[in-house]
Amino acid sequence: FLFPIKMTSPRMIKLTSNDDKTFEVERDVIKQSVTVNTLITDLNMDDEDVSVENQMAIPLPNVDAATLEMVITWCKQHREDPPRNEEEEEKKEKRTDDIPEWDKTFLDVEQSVLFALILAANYMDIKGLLDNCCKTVANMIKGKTPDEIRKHFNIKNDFTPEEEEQIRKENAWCED
Amino acid sequence: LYDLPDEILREIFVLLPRHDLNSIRGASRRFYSIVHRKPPIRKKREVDQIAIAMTDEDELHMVFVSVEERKTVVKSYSKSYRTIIHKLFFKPRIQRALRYSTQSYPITSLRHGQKHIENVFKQSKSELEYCNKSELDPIQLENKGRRDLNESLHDATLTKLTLYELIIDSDFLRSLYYSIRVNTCVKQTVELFNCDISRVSRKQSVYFQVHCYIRRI
Repeated sequence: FLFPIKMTSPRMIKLTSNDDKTFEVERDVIKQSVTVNTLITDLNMDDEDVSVENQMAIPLPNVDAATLEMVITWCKQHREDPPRNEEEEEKKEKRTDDIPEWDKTFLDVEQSVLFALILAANYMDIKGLLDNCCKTVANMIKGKTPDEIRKHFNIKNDFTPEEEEQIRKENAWCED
Repeated sequence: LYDLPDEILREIFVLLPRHDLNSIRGASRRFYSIVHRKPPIRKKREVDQIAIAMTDEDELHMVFVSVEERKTVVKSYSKSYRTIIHKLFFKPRIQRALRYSTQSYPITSLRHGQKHIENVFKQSKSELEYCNKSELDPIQLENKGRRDLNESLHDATLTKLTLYELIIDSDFLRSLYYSIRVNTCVKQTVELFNCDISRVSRKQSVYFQVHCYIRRI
């Protein structure tokens, strides 16, 4: 006897960016976003009987299309990552030299893109992406003087000369 | 960088060694204030001397842990603490949101070390009050149905814990504040308003309010 084999295609989820672009992404990929994952569960979107065409798109009003595309790319790359143990992560020594090579290249983008990605990762609650973005920014700050930091990130110096002098003294005391 | 919210900047600054932390705080007033916000960044990881354990839904024990026991006890309690967040702060309030706007717990069910908390706060108010926020519209919740409501709680996230008009024993407050910082995730923040922890007294009254809400799109 030959039985027809039912091929199961991966479950897809629709996400809409704030500029109204819709992305279809595998359920297994987007589960890394706690925000989206919660919503999928809340809205019973795991129902196998609902086809992707009839499925409601999840709106992400804080994320634009370009950033969402990057987030999805990151999630695809990290779909096989083991689940994070937050307790262990909290206890670990904070380091910035352990960003995976793929992420280093992926996050080697303009500052505005990186910061948009940080905001998206924070909003979508994707801890791994947020961590690596924060580490990337920390690495940008490292080794720079206050002046160099201001220049690099285009920040206005809003200290008075007296305050600057006071901070310099505090810093000298701290580093002694 | 300046456009990022404070809590993210703080997570970035936590990654910096002392020398770079000094540089970043010297770059702008806002960065300076973030670096100096309590608990101090350099101390953040050194304050796990307290853990909180819960024996049942109505009883919260504050448990002090000696230095020698710290590692093992904190490890075992930190998971329990997360349960507390859901059960004590979250679940009962939402379950009853259909009927009440305010959720209360008797302060007599709390302990501080070996003492009932009522003995610690000599002139305390008699309860903990749980605030209902507008985003938890009871009608919407009712429409969603009780079953869904309970299920959604498992994935709900406590994103903000607000303590205000709190005038209590300074050691207790510090412990509570630190334990929340230590035992919960980055995304959870604690704010203290009108609390001068250096001048509080056990003789003064207590008012302890907790806000929490589901992270919603």
